[in-house]
Amino acid sequence: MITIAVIAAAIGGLIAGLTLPLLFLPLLYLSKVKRKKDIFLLLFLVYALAIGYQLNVANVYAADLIPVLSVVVPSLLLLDVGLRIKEEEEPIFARTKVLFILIISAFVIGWFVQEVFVGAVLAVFLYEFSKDHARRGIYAAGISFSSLIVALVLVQGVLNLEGGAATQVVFIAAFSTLTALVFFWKHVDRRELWH
Amino acid sequence: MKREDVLLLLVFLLFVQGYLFRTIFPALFGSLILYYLIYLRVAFSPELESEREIARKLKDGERVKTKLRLKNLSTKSVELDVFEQLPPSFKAETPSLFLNGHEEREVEYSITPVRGIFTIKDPIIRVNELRELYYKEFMPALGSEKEVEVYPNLDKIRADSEAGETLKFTEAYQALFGLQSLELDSLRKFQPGDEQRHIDWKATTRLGELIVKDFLKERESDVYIVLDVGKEMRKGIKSSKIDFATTLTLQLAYALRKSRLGLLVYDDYGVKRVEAARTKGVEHVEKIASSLKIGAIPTTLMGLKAPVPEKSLRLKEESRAFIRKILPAIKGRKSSATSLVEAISALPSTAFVIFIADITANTSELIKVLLELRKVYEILLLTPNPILFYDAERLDGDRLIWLYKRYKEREELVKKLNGIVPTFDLGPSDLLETIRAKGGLGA
Repeated sequence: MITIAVIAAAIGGLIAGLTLPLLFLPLLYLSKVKRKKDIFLLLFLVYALAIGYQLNVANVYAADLIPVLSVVVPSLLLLDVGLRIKEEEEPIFARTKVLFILIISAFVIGWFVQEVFVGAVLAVFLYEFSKDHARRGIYAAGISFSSLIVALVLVQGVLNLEGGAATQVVFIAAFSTLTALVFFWKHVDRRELWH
Repeated sequence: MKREDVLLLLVFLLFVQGYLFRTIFPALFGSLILYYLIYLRVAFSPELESEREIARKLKDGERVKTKLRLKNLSTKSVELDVFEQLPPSFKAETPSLFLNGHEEREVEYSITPVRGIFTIKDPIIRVNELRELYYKEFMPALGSEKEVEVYPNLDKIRADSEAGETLKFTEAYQALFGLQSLELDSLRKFQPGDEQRHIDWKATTRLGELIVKDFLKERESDVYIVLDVGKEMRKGIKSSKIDFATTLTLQLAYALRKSRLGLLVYDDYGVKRVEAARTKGVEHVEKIASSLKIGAIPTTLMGLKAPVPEKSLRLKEESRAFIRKILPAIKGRKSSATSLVEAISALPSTAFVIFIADITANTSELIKVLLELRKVYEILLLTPNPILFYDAERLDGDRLIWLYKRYKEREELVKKLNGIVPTFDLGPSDLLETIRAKGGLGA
């Protein structure tokens, strides 16, 4: 699965015109293959900041969704696959060569028809999370994301201004943080880095 | 720093980046990572059921398998680490395993206990979320404590002592029983203490295990076996020390058939002497045996594998016959210490002396005698260890603890005696193979 995630991230980045991810993806791949989870996490931090630096979206209401989704979805997929414990147990895609070839073909076609790429990546993404059987988690994340979209739509009149990117960022950050605080109230024991 | 903190830091940095660079994408990406964390946190609610099985009676230092039955009560797959909460000095494996949703599995792993009586709790089970960001520890339920009794491990004690003593005995034997001639006697398996230069590489290659050459020994001096058949040697245990001592005496006699061998037997009543023969060889051994009204040495006794002449006899009958022969001749004495002094006074002016005696009775007299004798003679002291002759069926917790204490006391005594003469604590099947090999019983 890491192979699919890395290829998707690379193609997605190229679709959005990003070159920096190509530098980090081999390192992310290696750290996952070598089971260095903490190194993977730190590399992902740098990778995320790099794509955030390169991909410029000035207004959330006027954004082209295809490049944004082409970068965001593979990146989240990459994060999830990189953090998962057992690579070899999960990837039915990787084990079943036909499916693997189909997915990669969809990615390649997506280079020309970007909607196909986004659709294929979303399919893999949903498959990846469907294995968790985590209905409550999906509801929580879905509700949080939906409420952000709804909130953005509701305040469109206030935020949809020329040069209002900073205000939009503050709104998105504040809203997401407040939503997260609700769910972060639940106590869980957290694993140490380098442990 | 926690792993989750790295991602939270990333979210914060993405928000700052978006604000400073006036671009929405980092903020959106940061929000999605935050929602991903929400997903993981909310989804992680493991439920687990566990039950452990462990034997109540264990042996010191012996790995024991313990079974842990685990059932994942949630729908999500989890990774589990098992941490035992054992008393200090215990050793345990820390197994890890995966459990799918609603899967039940039994895991088996080893624990190595140390002696004593302990209360053992069930293990702590750490359930890891599959991304290894979060975990939950399941503590053992109240009342899950089990009392286990860990007994001293006689096999281990014996094996430890045997390994060291066989080596020492071999060295002592070589020193006492003379140089080897160049005449090849037989081939046999390699044993600790054997010289590497005696390995027969052709035979080793052919048989797939180390084989050494045995050479005939040359010895001109008299060898005397001084055997204690006092009451301490005949105490009521399943396989009595005297049975063993008798057999050992006979086998030593056979092993030393190329020496001029004599025998002195003493008990609480007196001494019986069998003079050293003027001739050497198997005939002399037969002569000693027949003079004691004991048949030839049985081949099947106590691990003795080599073919030896004549018919077999059962050990106990043999021992009884031996004692019956010895005892009537030595009536009327009151102390085995006195008999011991009398026995050594019967020794010739030069000889190699092998004592087979109990060291717990008349210890001070024995030490005095050995101190005097070592000035003149080369001596080897072989002493059957009563603990190693104990009937396993009669063992219980208290008796084992008592035996262990006795064993430790005895160990000290053996150390002390070792400072005087080479001393070897023997069990029912100890050293016969060494004696056979070194003495050429297989010839």
